[in-house]
Amino acid sequence: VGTPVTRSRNLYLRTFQDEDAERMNQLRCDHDLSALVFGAQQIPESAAETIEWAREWRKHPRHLMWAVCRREDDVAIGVATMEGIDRWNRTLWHGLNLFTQESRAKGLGTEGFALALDYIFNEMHYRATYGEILASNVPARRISEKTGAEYVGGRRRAWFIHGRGEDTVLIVQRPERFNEVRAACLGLDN
Amino acid sequence: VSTISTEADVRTLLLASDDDLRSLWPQLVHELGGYLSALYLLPPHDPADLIAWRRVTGHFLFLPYADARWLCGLMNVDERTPASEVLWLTADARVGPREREAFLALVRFGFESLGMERVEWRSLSAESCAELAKAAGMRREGVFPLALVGPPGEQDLILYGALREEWERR
Repeated sequence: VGTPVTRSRNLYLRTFQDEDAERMNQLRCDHDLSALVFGAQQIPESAAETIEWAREWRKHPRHLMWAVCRREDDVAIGVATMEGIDRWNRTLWHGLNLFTQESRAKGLGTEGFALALDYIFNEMHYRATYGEILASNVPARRISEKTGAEYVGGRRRAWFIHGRGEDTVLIVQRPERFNEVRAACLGLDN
Repeated sequence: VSTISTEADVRTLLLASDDDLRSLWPQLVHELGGYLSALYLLPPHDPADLIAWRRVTGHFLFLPYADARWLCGLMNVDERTPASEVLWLTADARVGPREREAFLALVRFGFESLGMERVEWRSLSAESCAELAKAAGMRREGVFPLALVGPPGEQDLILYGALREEWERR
């Protein structure tokens, strides 16, 4: 497998800071993207409110939040979230969100997610991570598939978006499957 | 305890008092440590954690009947979605008439009193649980592999869900 890394070909992970929340504000205020990420369209909020929200979120004993940054210019382009961290059963719920449309469709979501999974499995030694994705969110499903996810079910009409109950899919990531594709996802295979 | 009174006449369920939670907490932790952890509680902490958890989250916690030594409830009541999740805190997977009555009262409470459009349950992988879910009109929607570690080894959690129309025509 190799030593767990916090740096991949194009990205690195670090702790989440207030200035990252300012960039995350773009995501939380985006009419379409916020619904995909938070399961409901968000009421637009100020950068100060996002900073406060992120501070409170990080205080929770079962939450972790890391910034995903570009190596070339040290700009934070996304966030890796972990919630429902179960230290007894060693499972958690994961999320990986890029802040803006410009970062999408370049493989950065897969690379950033793989960085988070590498640390969760190969440094923190968690047994499984679970995720929930809007069934119609094909790009997010593709990132999960490329990083070794297995589909384990779905929740019918579980999210309420733009006035409609929408189905989700549930995925599990396990270290064995992730480690088979780890190097390729991190861009460390050559 | 105080009896809950709703339009749906959920006579079976008794709202658990803070004293009930204090009294039951050590037993719940002993029997259900891993399961409580999966429910985002942190055993073996103080029973005050359970009381605070209820206050902060707004979860409904019930004694299924007087003198019961286990708890059930509705958690994650999301009025916007609107959806909710059955909470079933007992180590005993056997389902008798009282357990069945309590389970159906909980789901009825969710649909008919709280106006939920979806009620779900994450249960142990036992035939008795599958039958109970089916009685409430629930379908098996998924599985969370390796969710629990316990004396029997690793266990999966099974996800069941019912939509309002499935509850009504069960």
